[in-house]
Amino acid sequence: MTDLLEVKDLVKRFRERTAVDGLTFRVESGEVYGLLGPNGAGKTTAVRMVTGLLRPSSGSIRVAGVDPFVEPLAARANLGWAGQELALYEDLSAVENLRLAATLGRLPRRETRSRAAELLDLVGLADRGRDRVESFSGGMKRRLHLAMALVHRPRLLLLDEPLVGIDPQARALLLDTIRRLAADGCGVLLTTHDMDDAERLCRRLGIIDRGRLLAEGTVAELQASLGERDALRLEGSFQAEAPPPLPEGVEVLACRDDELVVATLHGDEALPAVLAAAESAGVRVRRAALERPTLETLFLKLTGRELRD
Amino acid sequence: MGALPELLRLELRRRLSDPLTLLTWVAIPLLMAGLLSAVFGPKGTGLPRARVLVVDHDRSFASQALLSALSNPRLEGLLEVELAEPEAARRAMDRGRASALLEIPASFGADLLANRPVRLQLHRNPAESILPQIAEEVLAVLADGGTALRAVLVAMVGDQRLFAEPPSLAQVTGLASSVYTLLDDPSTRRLLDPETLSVTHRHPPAKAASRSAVVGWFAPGFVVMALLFLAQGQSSDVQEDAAAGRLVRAFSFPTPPTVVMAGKAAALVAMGLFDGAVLAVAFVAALGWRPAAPVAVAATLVAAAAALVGLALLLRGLTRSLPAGNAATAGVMVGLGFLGGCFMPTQLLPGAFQAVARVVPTGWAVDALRLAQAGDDPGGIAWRLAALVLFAAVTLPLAARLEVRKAVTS
Repeated sequence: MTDLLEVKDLVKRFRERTAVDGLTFRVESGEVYGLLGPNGAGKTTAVRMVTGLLRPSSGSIRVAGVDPFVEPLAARANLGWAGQELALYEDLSAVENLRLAATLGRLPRRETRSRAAELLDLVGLADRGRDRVESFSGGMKRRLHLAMALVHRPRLLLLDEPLVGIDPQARALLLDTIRRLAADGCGVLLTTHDMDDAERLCRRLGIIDRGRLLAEGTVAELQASLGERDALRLEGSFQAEAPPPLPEGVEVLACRDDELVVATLHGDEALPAVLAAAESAGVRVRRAALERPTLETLFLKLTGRELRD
Repeated sequence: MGALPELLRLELRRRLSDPLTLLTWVAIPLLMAGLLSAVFGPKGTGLPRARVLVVDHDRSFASQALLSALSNPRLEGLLEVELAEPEAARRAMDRGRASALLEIPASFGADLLANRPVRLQLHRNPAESILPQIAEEVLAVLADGGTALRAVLVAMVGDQRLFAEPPSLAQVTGLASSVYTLLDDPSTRRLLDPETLSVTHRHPPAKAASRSAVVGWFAPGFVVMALLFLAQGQSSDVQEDAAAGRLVRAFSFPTPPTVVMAGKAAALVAMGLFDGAVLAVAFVAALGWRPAAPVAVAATLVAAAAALVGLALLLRGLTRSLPAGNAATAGVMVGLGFLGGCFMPTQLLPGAFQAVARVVPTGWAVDALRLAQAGDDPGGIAWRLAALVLFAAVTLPLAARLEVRKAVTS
């Protein structure tokens, strides 16, 4: 896999306010990289700088090896951006919106018609191409919005909150589309504050707050790096005052007459030993459950519970 | 710039996809032309005339000649002259029933022929501005003509003291003979013919003289006004695009933002041209507007549309929100319409305003159209066109830069 996006020590200051503060990350081809952060964390500012529209105060960006501030058109030819706002012309049809994107994306004119049909098919709008966008539902608009970013076959896709305000069916279709694009070798930078979407889609994640990258890695790597432990919940005939002796590295969190809750770093590996220890102590375990810390838990631990605007 | 034609096509497609808005933009100038046609057209009452009351204290041959000149059929379209008794004339003026009162002094004829200074007194109706001005201008032209005529008469007759004493029969016969000889002379006839005394009648068309003169009075201003309103209204689209994120998204594609903005500006100019052309054709068809230099009119329309669109986009670029942009463009456009002579000739404005009018794009556009209409002063048209093109060349790129900056930082 090759790096489609390299961001290094990126800083953006707006007068006294620092929106992005030393951000470093990379996105490889075939990878969905999630940039997670609360509102105002600096995600959208970072993406705008990647498009080459907003000049950073310092730091460097390479899109497919091209500096977007030295060769902006070459860099933009390699990236497709679908921002948070549905930037569609509602008084035009879906096909006309795609034609506009094809013109702006410098797609050869002879390919425009077939590419539009291909994309409408991809996002499930093949039968609505001639309809004006103003007659579309929110989900349909969001799908067309994504299709417009793809029209010139970009290698890197920047998706800023792409799943906001859509129903489960549209969400499933869009998630599936993004996975397929990544499987075809497209690199995807996804900014979101939705933990479920991020967990479902992203191979790697970067958690950002106040313009700084707080943690980065796979979900498992993030759990490990933060020391978050799994919880094992066992139901059976325990004695509240005398929990059974447990293997090393397993800590009792709670013990009641019918339930024992323990914490350990790798719950799936420790489970057989914990069950054996309970059995040795004469406890009949009716049910066992492994509870892993969620991304949300990690996110809140890193970014805090303070409300953001 | 390869994307520009397609961007222009899609921009126009968007605007034309809303028939109601399109109809409104076309209907406004057509409605104006229709109303004006109803007022000034074949069935209308025509241009309001200045009612001039004349009190003749002299009742001489010379005062009769002046009255005849004022009542000449060629001035009928401008003046309605009525001989009145002094008291009745003053009462009519007090009640505002006349635009002006002209008093011919008792010694008018004698002073004129004795080569003494002659003073005519014109009382203007203070409640009116344009019509008394017309009367005053006409009278000034006639006075100039009368002065020239007196010089010729005196030279021909050769006796300045002719009427100092009662003339003999032989003198009267000789004078009559000299006058007839004089009137037969073509050079003298030119002086007596009001055609040479009236600037507005320098190029009198055969039949539609009065209609053409009327439409020529307001057509240039109305055409520029239509361009102003269109530029003001349609330029809001750019701010709407910016607010909806469409501009910044367009800029994220591998097409230079300046080309994107050029496509939008070109569409606005095309719409302005369409609107201006509809109005011009309506003036031609309904009111008999016959510009002497139609190519210059067309060139002025293009340059004026570009300049006014540039100005509107610049104002939009300088304001942060759509309501602020609407307020700024509306205020500035109405002001420039007034200063540029869209609503009334700039000659009627106070001196300071006239000075400003010479340096605003609406003034250049209206003046260029008036010159193209008259078909003279190609140099005057050329420099005004150049000024409009220069104005557009400065404002359009500047507006594009402002809009790009706003879009990416908002």
